[in-house]
Amino acid sequence: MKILVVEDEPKAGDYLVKGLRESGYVADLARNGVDGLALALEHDYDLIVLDVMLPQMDGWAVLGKLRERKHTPVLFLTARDDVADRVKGLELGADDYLVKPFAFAELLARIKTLMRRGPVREADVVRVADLEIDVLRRRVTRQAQRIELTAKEFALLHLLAKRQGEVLSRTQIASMVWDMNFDSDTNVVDVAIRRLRAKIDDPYPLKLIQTVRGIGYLVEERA
Amino acid sequence: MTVARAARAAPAPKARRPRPLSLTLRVALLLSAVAVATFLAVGAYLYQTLASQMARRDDIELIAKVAQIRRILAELPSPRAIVENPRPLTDALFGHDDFMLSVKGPDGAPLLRTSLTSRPLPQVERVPPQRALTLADVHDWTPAMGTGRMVSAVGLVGADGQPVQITLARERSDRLRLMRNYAVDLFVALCVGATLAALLGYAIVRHSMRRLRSVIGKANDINTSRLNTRLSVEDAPVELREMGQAFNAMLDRLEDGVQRLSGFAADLAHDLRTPVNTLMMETQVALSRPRTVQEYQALLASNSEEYERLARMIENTLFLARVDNAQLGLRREAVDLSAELQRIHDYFEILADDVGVRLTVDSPPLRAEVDPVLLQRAVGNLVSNAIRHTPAGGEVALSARATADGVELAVSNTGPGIAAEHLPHIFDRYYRADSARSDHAHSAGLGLSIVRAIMELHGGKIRVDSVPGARTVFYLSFEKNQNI
Repeated sequence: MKILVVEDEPKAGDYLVKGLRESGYVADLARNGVDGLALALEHDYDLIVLDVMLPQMDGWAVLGKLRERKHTPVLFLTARDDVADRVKGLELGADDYLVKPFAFAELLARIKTLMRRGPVREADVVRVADLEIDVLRRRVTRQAQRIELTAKEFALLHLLAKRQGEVLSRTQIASMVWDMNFDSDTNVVDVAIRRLRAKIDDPYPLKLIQTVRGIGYLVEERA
Repeated sequence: MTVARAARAAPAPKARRPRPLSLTLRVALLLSAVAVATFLAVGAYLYQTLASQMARRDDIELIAKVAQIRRILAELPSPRAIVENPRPLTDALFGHDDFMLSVKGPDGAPLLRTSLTSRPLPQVERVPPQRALTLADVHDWTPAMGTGRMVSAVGLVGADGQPVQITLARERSDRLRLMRNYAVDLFVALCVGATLAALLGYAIVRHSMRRLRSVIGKANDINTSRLNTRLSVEDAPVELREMGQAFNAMLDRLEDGVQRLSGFAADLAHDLRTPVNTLMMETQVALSRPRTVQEYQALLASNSEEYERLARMIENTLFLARVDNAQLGLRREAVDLSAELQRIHDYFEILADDVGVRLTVDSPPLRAEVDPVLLQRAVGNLVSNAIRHTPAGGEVALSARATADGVELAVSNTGPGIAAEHLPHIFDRYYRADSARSDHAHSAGLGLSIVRAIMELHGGKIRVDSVPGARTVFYLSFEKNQNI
């Protein structure tokens, strides 16, 4: 999976590339629009992360020129949260956008979604170590012992388990489990995780729900 | 002021548009135009009146002369006497060089003929001897130059009354000359008058404009740091007073806006200080000597949380700014309020349960045209606040009901309540009822402002009832059938 990052802000660009590489992607960095366009046309990237505010040639121009020749998926980054801006980007052929500042986990999630070709059939049974989630029967067991969960607890565990190894931010979790689409400063998600842990992890020596401080939560089997 | 200066200092644009005339010059020119028009009308009227009166008087004179000639003729013994002694008749015309008299006998033989034109006089109807002459008997004729008037009548001579034919004519060239001179005089007077009116008008308007210039001078002195200057309107003329009052009202609004804006900016900067300070302290202390990986991780995680807080504060501030600038578009949809309240309930239930607060929903199936994301945000903010302020064992209730003109949502809690003196201010940005409490873990300073802004966007209303120690209720009312 090859990703091109076009970002002029030096620190932001370096860290974006670093983060992507550590997440298992091959990432190249261009520091201005002209270089970015040249690289994008020369190589076949799976995705381009494009900052809109660029010196010499701005993101819109890059996107326009790129779309004349290629259909590489483009995720654009903007600091201006205007409807007009977003619409412009999507009309020019971008596939998604993120408004700065954004959580890195959010970027990874968007990238995964964009790279996933076609609908993915969800597994009927999700397993993490000795945890088994039977999605159809809505049954959860650990070490073959049945664990009773509320509907929302089940939804939360299922979300984390089917995306195991992937850190999800509180905002993402609130949106996907409760359909709450505003960024609030409540700690509902933390409380929900704590309660889920009491049922899933506390009675067992192997802990599956992991906290990534400052980012969010994930389900993962850690040695 | 700086803007005005910059504009003045800027080079004149290349494409020169004709500069509009100054108001003073314009009024002066208009005044002189009005003066010219008035003088022209009055002059024409005077000229006409004079001309027609003069013509009438001339005609009357002509008739009177003919009557006099008739009387003279009547005293003569016979038509022959006219030829023998024309003196009585010529004397009657003495001093009237422009008069021409011809008298013809009953047989048509000329008896008398004074000076006169070579041109023959036209034949006009003769007034019979018994009838006195009227103005209708005077006719036009055309001499060699100009115009003329003439009368023809029959007079009786002697006791036996022999009819003689009297024709009296008059050239009007001297009259025309007089009228022409009069017209020239009028024209000169008109020019002088118009010029005088223009000059006086210019001077008067210029004098009146002095007040306006003083207003402009004052206006130039006003800038954002000296917005409290006001134009003095009491002693100004009525027209300027209205303008001045409008101007002052605009200044009031501007001053209010600027004050709120600068207050807002100060509050924001203040609020940003705390997290930035935490970040600096933490980071600098951590860097002062080598740490373990765990310590670094803890630091970075803590920083990340602060960054998220900062990002949320910026987002909230931008949201309010966009509402203020009317840059935020509503995406209204028909939303099932009971389902939406249930969803919000489900989200916050865990939190409420965790702090021992009961969270309830009571709503009939209700639909409203609202922006679902913003509604969620508004109600979410209220619920989150309510849970935070309700002690364990208390209750937070969500409800919706149809009202006469729409729907009303209510979020009530059994917390300690809000003191009456704080109620009018709780929707203000960064207003905190309890200034002593350090509530900085939450960006609550903007929460209620955002709720109010969302309601304003929807054309709805927000109000709050609070009985300290008993119950606090926030009501959100949306009107039905709003124009979208």
